[in-house]
Amino acid sequence: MRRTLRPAAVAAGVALVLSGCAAGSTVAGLQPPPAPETRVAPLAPPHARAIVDRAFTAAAQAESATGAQADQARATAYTGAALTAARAKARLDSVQPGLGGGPPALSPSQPGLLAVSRGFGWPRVMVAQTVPAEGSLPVLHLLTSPNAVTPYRIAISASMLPNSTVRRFDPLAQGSRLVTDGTGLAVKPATLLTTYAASLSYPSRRVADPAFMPDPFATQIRQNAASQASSVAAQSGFTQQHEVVPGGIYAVEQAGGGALVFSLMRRTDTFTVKPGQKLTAPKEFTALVPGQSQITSRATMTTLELVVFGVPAAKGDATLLAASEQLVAAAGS
Amino acid sequence: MPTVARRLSLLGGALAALVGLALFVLGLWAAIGLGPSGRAAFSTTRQTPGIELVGSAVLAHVDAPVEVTVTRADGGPVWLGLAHDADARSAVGSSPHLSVDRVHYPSGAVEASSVGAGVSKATQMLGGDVWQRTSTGTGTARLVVSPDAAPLSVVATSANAAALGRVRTTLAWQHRTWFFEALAAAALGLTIAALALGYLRHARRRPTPRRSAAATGATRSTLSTRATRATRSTRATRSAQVPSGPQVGTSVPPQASGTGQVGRE
Repeated sequence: MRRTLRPAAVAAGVALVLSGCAAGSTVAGLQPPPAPETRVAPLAPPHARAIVDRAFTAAAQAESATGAQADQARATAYTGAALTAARAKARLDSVQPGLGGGPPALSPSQPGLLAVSRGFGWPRVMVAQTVPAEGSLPVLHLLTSPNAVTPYRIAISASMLPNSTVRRFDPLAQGSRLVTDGTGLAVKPATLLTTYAASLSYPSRRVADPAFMPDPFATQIRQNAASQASSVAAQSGFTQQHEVVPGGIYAVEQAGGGALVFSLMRRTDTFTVKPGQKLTAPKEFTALVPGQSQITSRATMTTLELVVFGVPAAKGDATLLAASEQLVAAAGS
Repeated sequence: MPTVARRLSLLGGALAALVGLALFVLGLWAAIGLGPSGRAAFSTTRQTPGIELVGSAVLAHVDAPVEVTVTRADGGPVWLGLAHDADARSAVGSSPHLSVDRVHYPSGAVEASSVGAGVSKATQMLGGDVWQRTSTGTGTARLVVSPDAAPLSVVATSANAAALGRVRTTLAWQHRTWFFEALAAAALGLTIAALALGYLRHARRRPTPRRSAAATGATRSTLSTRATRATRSTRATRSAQVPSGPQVGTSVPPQASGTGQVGRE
């Protein structure tokens, strides 16, 4: 009996030793590295909120400061078209307070973070919402970061339209997919925006089978264009063109499908003065083109339009949820 | 067959003794190296361009917080940033940098290599939002990296356009239980080695087992081969002096048994 047990005892001893060796390999805590996780947000929610707070704090400072300090704060808060809009507003307001209008991003309070883009690709975005202190309609903001060495800044801000709602996104820690290419959407964002821009032009152009619902912003644009054309009809011709700014579309997927689509459009109002006639330039024009109070030949005014659509997942029309505009440039002779 | 089993058990005992001794030495060596605080440190001193990257292969390879310390020989400013590995590498891009890729335990060696040949982004990368935590210092900077579900990396720069120059990078893991684990391993090894050696000693001293009367000549030959000459001689003498009849395992001839019987009477 003892003889038969000996090999077993020795084998058990060897096994014990080997298990001891296995435990010894963890003495310094060495372990296989974890696999990269791509189905998460690249930022922890507290970090993302801190970034949003930083951007809106800088936006508020740009409003209250002047000169170089204000310029620096604007560059910290905004990027791209939003920076162009903020600079233009500051220039208009310097001529006459309130002349630049009230871009929504410039008086934010208590920004709320709604979504963070998922994964480690570039560009990355965050969706935030502010409610202006005056109690007006909430404002949707898109913050973008194009690469690892450029911080997030506000790229698009637009006031929500009355009675519009934004469906919820996936949890912040999980992140939300960027579906700018139209994956899983009823209509490709680029197609939607191109069609929408075309539908706003003046003289009006009929768009066949639009993929969007009628909205008050478009109605107001068309009415203003018709009114403008009518008011200068005796002195000049008037046309209005809308075009999508290249690279200015971002679609962020929402929970349960569909996406919130942010886009930049550029509107160009063109006045062609009839021979022997002249137009008196408005204050906005002279603020951007100092000394040019009379237009005798041709004038253009460029306005940035910042729009946000809700696009359904499978079928149905897109709905405009938010829109704002800012005059940014003028030229004339 | 019993002989084969005995040989195997002796071999197993010897193997267990060797492994036990090895475990004892390694455990003792690790315990001394770690110290009572359980701190394992790895250092390397290298000439470094504007950026140094301590990759996730190092930081994520350990299940305990890692303390990364970068010290410049010239005492200049040091900036450390912690980011997801993909983000850190994206921020560094093709900039010339020193990449710390692996550490070897228990040798303590640190593998590092100089990579990248593009324009350095050392001054731009600080502005990005990929940095989860940062640390700055004059001459030296320190950052403690806790384990995360995603791979992490640490990037070091001078926070300006200047190169880091000669830099000492130290990676240290501290876990108090490691010291006791090393001691336990040494104790386990010592115990196993002692038991195995005791068994071997006992096995070598044990007398050769006797064979039955039905044993064949081939069996006797085998026993004769394994026994020493002295033993065989003693047995032979004892058989002649005290012929007490046929004994198990002896080679007393049949005719001698009658003498033995007469003598006993």
